[in-house]
Amino acid sequence: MSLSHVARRAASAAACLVLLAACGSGAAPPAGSPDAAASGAGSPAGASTAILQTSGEGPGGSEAFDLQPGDYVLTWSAAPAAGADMCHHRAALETTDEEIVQPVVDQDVTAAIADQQVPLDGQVAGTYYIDVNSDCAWTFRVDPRP
Amino acid sequence: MLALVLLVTPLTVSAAATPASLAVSPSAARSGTQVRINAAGFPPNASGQLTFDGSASGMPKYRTSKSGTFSVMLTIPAAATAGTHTVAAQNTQKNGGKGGGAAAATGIVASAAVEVLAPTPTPAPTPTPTAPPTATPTAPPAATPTPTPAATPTPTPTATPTATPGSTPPAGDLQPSFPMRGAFYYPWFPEAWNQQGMNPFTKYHPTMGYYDSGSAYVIKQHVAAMQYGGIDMGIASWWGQGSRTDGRIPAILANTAGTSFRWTLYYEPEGSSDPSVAQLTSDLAYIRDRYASDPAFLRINGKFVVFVYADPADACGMADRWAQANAGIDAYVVLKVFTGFRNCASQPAGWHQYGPAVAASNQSGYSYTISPGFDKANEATRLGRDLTRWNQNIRDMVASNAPFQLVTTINEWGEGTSIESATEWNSDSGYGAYLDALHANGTGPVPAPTPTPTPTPTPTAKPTPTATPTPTPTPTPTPTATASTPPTPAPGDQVLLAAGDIAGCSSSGDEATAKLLAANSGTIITAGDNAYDSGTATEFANCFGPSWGAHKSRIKPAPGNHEYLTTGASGYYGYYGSAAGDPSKGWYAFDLGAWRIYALNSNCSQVGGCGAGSPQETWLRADLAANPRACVAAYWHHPRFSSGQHGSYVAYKPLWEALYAAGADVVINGHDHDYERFLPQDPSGQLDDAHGLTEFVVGTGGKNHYAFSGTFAPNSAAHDDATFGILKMTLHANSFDWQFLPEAGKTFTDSGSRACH
Repeated sequence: MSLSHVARRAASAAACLVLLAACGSGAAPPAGSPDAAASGAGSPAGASTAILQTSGEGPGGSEAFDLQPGDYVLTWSAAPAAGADMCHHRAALETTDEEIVQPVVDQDVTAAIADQQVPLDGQVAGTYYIDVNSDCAWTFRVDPRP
Repeated sequence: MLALVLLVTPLTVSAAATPASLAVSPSAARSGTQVRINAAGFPPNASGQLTFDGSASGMPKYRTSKSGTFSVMLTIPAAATAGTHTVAAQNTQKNGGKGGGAAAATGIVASAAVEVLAPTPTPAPTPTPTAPPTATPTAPPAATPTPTPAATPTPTPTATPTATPGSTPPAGDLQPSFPMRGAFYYPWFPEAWNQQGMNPFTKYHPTMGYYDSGSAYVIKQHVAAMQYGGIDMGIASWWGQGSRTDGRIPAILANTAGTSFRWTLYYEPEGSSDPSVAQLTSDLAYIRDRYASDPAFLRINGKFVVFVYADPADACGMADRWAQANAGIDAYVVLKVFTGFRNCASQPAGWHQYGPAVAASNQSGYSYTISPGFDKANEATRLGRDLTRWNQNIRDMVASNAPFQLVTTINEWGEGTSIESATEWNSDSGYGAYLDALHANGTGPVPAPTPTPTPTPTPTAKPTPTATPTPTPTPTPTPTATASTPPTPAPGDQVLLAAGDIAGCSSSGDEATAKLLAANSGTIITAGDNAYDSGTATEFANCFGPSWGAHKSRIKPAPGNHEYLTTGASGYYGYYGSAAGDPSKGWYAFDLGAWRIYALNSNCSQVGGCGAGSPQETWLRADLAANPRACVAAYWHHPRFSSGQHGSYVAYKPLWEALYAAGADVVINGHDHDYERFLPQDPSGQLDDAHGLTEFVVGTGGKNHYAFSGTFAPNSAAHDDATFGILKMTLHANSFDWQFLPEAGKTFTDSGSRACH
């Protein structure tokens, strides 16, 4: 995910669905569609594709996705929305029963930030989602730890 | 700025099968930035505090999951030096939630060594994050409030009395002149709300709720109220150097700056002991050096003023001690009277009476003191309230032309002598009938008789020993107790019951809160996350249905993010049907008594956004314009302001702006699994008592708890993260009452009243 990609999303007034493939700049989401989709249960061993890839603008979150025990890495990017000088980006990785609420980012964004990695070591098995408290344009991706 | 590399060495203390451990990530960070602390192997459902090198300052609290894990963000102190540091987790209590096992151990459960390396010239790969908000939060209540004035600490004679008399008045010193009106003031809350096994320790319901005396907002409100009542100066209860009341004086003075109001101190240790001359000298010098030169401190003829309480046994010897102590200080000392005070050889600058069991006391030539009533929380009434008498007392006081015209008290709520606004005597002015009467010098209309106080304090499970009893002036007990009657809703009043984050099949909290619904009539609103984990039709049927579902016909729901973990929130809309509004929108409005109520959908990406010009915001503005009401409330899931793990959502500012512009009064949210109430704010989070909205976060519906993030957001006035419960609001035509109803077995509550805009 490139910085320019984030910037293009910032120019878009609406979030868009990403499932292991980018949607077009300015594409409006289908009515009622979720912000993200998951690729099913993740396995850190030998996986070669992202378990989750999602993007949006403003508050929201991903769809639920499963993780098996193991190490992962979360990658995020964020940029102020079109016309804004800055934004605040905060998010947490949570189990869907909210027994685990795991903050992953909480910072002001004054210019586009791309591909920040947060290690998720020793993750317990469960169904997770990403809860996003942000007024930025943003992307998240979860991959098995190489 | 130091570049840090954190080398983590988990240490184990627990004897559990899975050892407790901490892990810090990322492995490299800068000072002042945040790292994540992951923990495993802890006791389930336990709460605690993280420390950095043994200090909890600025460090977050945590609450473990049912599997004994937690994850929180921690800001590396900017002052951290290169070298080895330690992050430790210390359990403080066991949470009583479902799934808990044996009681959690307290003390350090696990720690991790952190190596801070010297800074490197290489720029960090990421932009430096902005430090977390540093606005001073409202001080959280002490874990174990000391019942009112604790024993006076052993003072350290820090100030050597000097020959320099008095204080140094600031240039252009503006002070009231005789006759001046004063009032006794108690800056000892929140600790004094919990006394003698009662919480709150009062028979009344202050309009500002059970507040914190350290709050700048509260202080400013009190100053404004006293000025409205024609009161020139406050006499702040002071329990000695280093006491809690002493700690609040700087804020009191600072938040009076720019007004004509002045403060003096009420020296309380004389009421429970006979301090030595050396002690008195030390205390006077301390007051002189710390406070007396402040522009907001009361001075008469250039001398700083100190009022002195006394015990019934005090006599001329007390006057002698004070005269000796003051010889090199030259304060303006005003002692409490005793029999024969006029005949003492040592005469202070003034004398006063403090005896609120008597309606009026005239100490001719010195002072005139009046009391609205005396009805201590756990005793029978000593002096009943009578506004007709109060008005007469005021007129007599004014006519006396006494130099000091005194009121007992502004806010001694435990003894029930307060005159600040309360539910029992609120008025259109917002200041209450007793201050209205002072405002009119006793010549205004007398409202209807004051209703009988409703004693609603909840006895705590374990009575707190009283270290030092509240000063009890002129004990003249009346043998007959005042009968208690429950409040009777006025015709047209409506009741609203609210909570979010409610039902999970693996939790029992929703069953506990459903019992509260069963015990209270009224309309129920849900602030999102009705059914966990994903709001499926099955979860609504099997998890929500058996508890809150029993009251489905009374529910006006709002959706949360968990509902949308099922595509289109189809489980939610299918369960509630038309009661949830148009499934493509999820927002709707309804009338409840005189109120207009808005259910909004904060899952913005699902409904075309929440920003200015979005369909929802446009509809909201249009409906507000088409349906003007004196009182308006709105509710949705994600909070604009919150001190919880998810924090404040700036994205909902446009919705707040629409509501604020229309004069709305209340916002109710969930999402963070805690209870929090904010003082009235504008959409940017600035205090705004005239037009601000009161926000409640009520994520206490029953799913589970998690701890606050460690720093309370500005204007957070009440908060709890360990009690399931519901918010009960009584909606009057032009005002509202709120009360947090806790689950059975818990004691946390929060209540108050407020007028609509």
